[in-house]
Amino acid sequence: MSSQPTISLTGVTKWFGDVVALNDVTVDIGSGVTALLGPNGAGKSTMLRLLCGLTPPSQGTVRVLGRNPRDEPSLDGRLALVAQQEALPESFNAITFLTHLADLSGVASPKDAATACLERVELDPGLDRKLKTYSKGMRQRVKVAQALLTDPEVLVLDEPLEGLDPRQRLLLIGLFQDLGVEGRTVLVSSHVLEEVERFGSRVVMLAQGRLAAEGDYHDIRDLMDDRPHRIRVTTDKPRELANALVAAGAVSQVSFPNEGTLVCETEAVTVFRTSVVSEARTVGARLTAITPLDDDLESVFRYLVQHR
Amino acid sequence: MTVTAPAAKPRTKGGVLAAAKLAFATVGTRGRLIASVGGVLFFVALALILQTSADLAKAEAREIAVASFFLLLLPLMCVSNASIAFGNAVQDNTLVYIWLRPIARWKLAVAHVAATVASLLPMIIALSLSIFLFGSSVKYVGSVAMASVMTAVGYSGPVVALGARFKRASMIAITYVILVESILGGLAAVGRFSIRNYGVALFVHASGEKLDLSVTPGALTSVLVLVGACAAGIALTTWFLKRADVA
Repeated sequence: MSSQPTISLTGVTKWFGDVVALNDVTVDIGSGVTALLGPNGAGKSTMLRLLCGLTPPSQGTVRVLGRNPRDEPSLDGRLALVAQQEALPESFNAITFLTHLADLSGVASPKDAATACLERVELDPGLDRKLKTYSKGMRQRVKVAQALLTDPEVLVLDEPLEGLDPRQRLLLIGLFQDLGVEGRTVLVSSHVLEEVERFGSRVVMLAQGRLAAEGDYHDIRDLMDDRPHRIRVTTDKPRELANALVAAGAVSQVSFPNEGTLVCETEAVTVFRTSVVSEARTVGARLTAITPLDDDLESVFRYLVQHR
Repeated sequence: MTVTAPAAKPRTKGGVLAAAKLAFATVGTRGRLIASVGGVLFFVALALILQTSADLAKAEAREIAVASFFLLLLPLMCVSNASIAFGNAVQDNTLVYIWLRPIARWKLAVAHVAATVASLLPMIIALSLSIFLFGSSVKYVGSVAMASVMTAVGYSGPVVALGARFKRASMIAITYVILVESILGGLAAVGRFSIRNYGVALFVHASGEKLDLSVTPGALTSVLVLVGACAAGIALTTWFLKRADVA
């Protein structure tokens, strides 16, 4: 998925006293779903707050839809945020709270909009209970619902799946994907990698306040050629195939974790991919499966964070 | 795959009325209305008891009720309501929901001040009705009501600003009422900084009653100071909201 950037950070640095929360980050993000990744304290929430204009950058420029979100809060309703903190005004019920916010945003039929947004996250608009009695999952969905009130073009979500049960997670992941397919820019932060893989493959990775990587995480992995790739090959003749691959110079190291399985390490993935089939044919081995072991997001992420 | 962003829709912005409704939902809660009207009824009842037991003249008993209202109840309810208008949201980190709405910051500030004054009206109406039933003249009742509303206006602007900036705004405001207006308020130099003094002075000028004040500014000066304080508070709130580091 490619598009013109709707979010643009240029040389952005943010410090709080002596603490540098974000350090010289330059990144462009286009429409569709992008995951913002990083361990706790990496600067994700700071970056999202900067994007929404909640705090000014110490250096650099932030532009969303070509405008400065600090000068124009919510960019006339085109930008919305699901904040990380759990806090909601305790004394309202959900429909009253959202109706007030819709009214405050100049939405034509505030109550209808509030009802529609609550239904979209599978909350009952007729539920007459104060927000302070809501479970964490319900609060999280109220936060998502309020962000949808103005039908925003850019949606920024800070750990939106926290506290949700698996069914609710699926619901919201589906919702974010739908919003992305509609052409909106959806930036979702998370430190839970399994979650992020389900959003899609586009990631922005932060580590210690710096941009560690951005792009498709499969591409990022391919670019990290300074360490061997690990690939598991399932075959009926693992030892013969291993010998052939070593002799062909396609692997640097092999191991046999169990019967019928060969784990190869290679620094030349392309050579390996072409060699493994031909060498298997040469030694008469039947290949059942070839599985990259460190091509998943978690491996990429761990590697990038450890090597900063 | 190239994605086309959704067509930009015409956007509207929120207005003062919508913001005032939201603010009123915070400051005009049933509990606060009961507390403020209950406070008035308490002082009226106290005046009635004194009238009976201490054999006070009706006018003297009424004066006790009105003085208690101006010196204690009105300032405390004003600062209490005004400080939570934004203060609650600042304190519990929910300001972000208001801040990220497409509405001009000055409209938010005006709306919160207006909602604060509106939340005090039931109390002012209760007092006005009570002293009317005491047999006071329309002029006297009108003077109390007008001076009370103007005092509420004078307090609301600056205290709403305090709430928008500081987490413990109510404590700061109550300290001001107790220290500057009550303990040191008798000193002429300090009395000039007392919002309450200007409100009471307005009452004195409008009703023709005599009250012992450390400073008795003219009617026009009082109106200008109270309106000026409110306007300054609105300007400060707008500025705080624009510069706020929202959690």
